[in-house]
Amino acid sequence: MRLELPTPRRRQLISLTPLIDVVFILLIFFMLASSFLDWRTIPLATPSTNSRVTSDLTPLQVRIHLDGRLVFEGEALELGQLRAAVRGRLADEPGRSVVVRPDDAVPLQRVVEVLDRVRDSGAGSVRLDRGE
Amino acid sequence: MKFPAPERREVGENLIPLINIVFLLLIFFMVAGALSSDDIFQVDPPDSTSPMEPDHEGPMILLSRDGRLAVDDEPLEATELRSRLVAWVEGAEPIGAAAPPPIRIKADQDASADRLLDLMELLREAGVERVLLLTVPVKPD
Repeated sequence: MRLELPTPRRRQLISLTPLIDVVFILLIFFMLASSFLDWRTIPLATPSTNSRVTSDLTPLQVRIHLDGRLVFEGEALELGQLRAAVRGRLADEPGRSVVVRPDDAVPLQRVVEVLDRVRDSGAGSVRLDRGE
Repeated sequence: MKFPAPERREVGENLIPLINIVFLLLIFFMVAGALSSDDIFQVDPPDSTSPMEPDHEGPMILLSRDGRLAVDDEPLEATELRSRLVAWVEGAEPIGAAAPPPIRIKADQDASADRLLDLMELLREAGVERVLLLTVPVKPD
């Protein structure tokens, strides 16, 4: 008698369709829920009203006017010139702090641009304060 | 005329490369992306060239374009915020010599400077001395 053995069936993988469904759902969840923003920070000291900076020197002043003008120690300049101007001034008088005084309605982006330039120029202490 | 019976294809066989790719994508998004909850209002942070990376401790104050404030996704008025901050400063102080982590401010890039200064003066009155202004790196043109 001849036995017809069934050809050995390939072992069934775990059923794939539900697995794929779940993995796709996870994938879409992580795609939507994750954020790739790369955060940076600017350290600032809160403005002190009573205890003025103990340095006997008045800080160097950068005014940001609403119409976009920048005035550094009474001298109007462009944003691109600010770094060199502050650096030159600090080379003469090292250790002076810098205060950035924006007009009330100046947008924050503009203030941050100026703060970046001042920090790049090597100023040891940078403060943000109200424009008069 | 008789056609040969079409070869039966194993379904699983073709899907394996697809699953490999999907798994890779899944793992990429899980590892590379930080899960984030949406802020309660839209805040578009300013660009900056600052190299400092933030630490993720301490409260975060949101300042929207039109001056609304929120702490940890809870909208607050300035007076409430002040009492909350005073409590936080007092709670953080006795732990030890280590300074409490600075407060992070996430402000919109179109918020006006006086709104930020109002907030910083409020923080000063509450006894906070250091704040970190959150920014994102400048996008290359």
